Amino acid sequence: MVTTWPKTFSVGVVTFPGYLRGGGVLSVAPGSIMCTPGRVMASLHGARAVRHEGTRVEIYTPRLIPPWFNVSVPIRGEGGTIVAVTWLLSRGSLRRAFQEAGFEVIEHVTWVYRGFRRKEAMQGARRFGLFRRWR
Amino acid sequence: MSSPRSRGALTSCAIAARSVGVAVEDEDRLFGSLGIELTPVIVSVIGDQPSPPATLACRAGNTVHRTAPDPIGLSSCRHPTSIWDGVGSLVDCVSKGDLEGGADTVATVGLRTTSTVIAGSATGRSLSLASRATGISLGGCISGSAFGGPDVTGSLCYYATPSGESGVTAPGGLGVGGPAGANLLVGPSVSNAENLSDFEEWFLYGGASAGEAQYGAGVQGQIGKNGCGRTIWSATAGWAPSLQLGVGGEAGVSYTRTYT
Repeated sequence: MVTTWPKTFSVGVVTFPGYLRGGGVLSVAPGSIMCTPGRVMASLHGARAVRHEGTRVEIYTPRLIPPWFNVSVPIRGEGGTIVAVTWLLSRGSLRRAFQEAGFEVIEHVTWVYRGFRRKEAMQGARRFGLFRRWR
Repeated sequence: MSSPRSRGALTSCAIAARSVGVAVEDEDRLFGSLGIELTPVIVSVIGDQPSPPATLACRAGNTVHRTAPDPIGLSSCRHPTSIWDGVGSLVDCVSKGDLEGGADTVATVGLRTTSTVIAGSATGRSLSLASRATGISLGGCISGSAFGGPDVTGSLCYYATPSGESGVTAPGGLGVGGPAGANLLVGPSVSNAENLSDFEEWFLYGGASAGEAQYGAGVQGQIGKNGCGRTIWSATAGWAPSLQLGVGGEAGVSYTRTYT
């Protein structure tokens, strides 16, 4: 089977810090994972795309989070950290895409931890929060 | 436990509504019993027959957005008698320079058209049948909310009611919500309303959503009393895409208009 790159996934995005949650796109290509917040988030929050650094990527699946948003992938890079969120049924295709792109996938099945803590995300919310650009 | 007869003697609004409805159906009995004999006849009718869907007494206490045709048959602004009369009504608004009336007419005609289209569709007919079978109002809603301390919410819902009446309701409300953001809610809705005019009241509403962006789900409910004092509730649950800061919740007061 021929894989066409990049593979894109429509995801929810949690900005970090700031804890604004909106839509975005996760693009996976050989050696590259990039998460791009949607236009609305970008204009309201100033959130920018983040390219993942390193060859390891982590997928968190908390048991106690509802299945429609319980798969999260922290994307850490120069632009900061963004968490891409999707639903349980996308976990398999996400894992395959990462592996085919040459990344080492580490899966964590947790109870509630999603790869970030809300408190940490909320830190700096005042500085990075909603309507930052409008001040 | 009270007997059907003693219950019928109570002057609750709902019972009166059913009774008048039955009496209207049976004209001979109604005219023969006006005045002194009215109450006994009503009691016997309640005891003999199952409750039919009727709402006349309750409606008297409510404002139902029905049309008031012009006595000489001309279209009048804000009062389109039918979908086709909407153009004439709009022309009347324009000729009077009533822009607000024009907007009201357009909204009324649009929502009535929507209601008619849905009611005539297979989905609308199925909802109507299911509503009559279950005795609860069934439908669906599209709601939008924006919150950041203060909360503004608006919905468009379609309901088929057990009385056989169906139409669009448009609740709008103000309240408090947080922390900050906006969301949509699209999903099926249920209510204990017996007819559409039961919605035409002030309600308390509350809602919450959980999820990230398009991977979100939410619920919204409202509760209030109809013109007869009966408690009316409705609940909607479904897909809730959002753009927000943290987990969202809202509560407040809303008023609903109905369009049949």
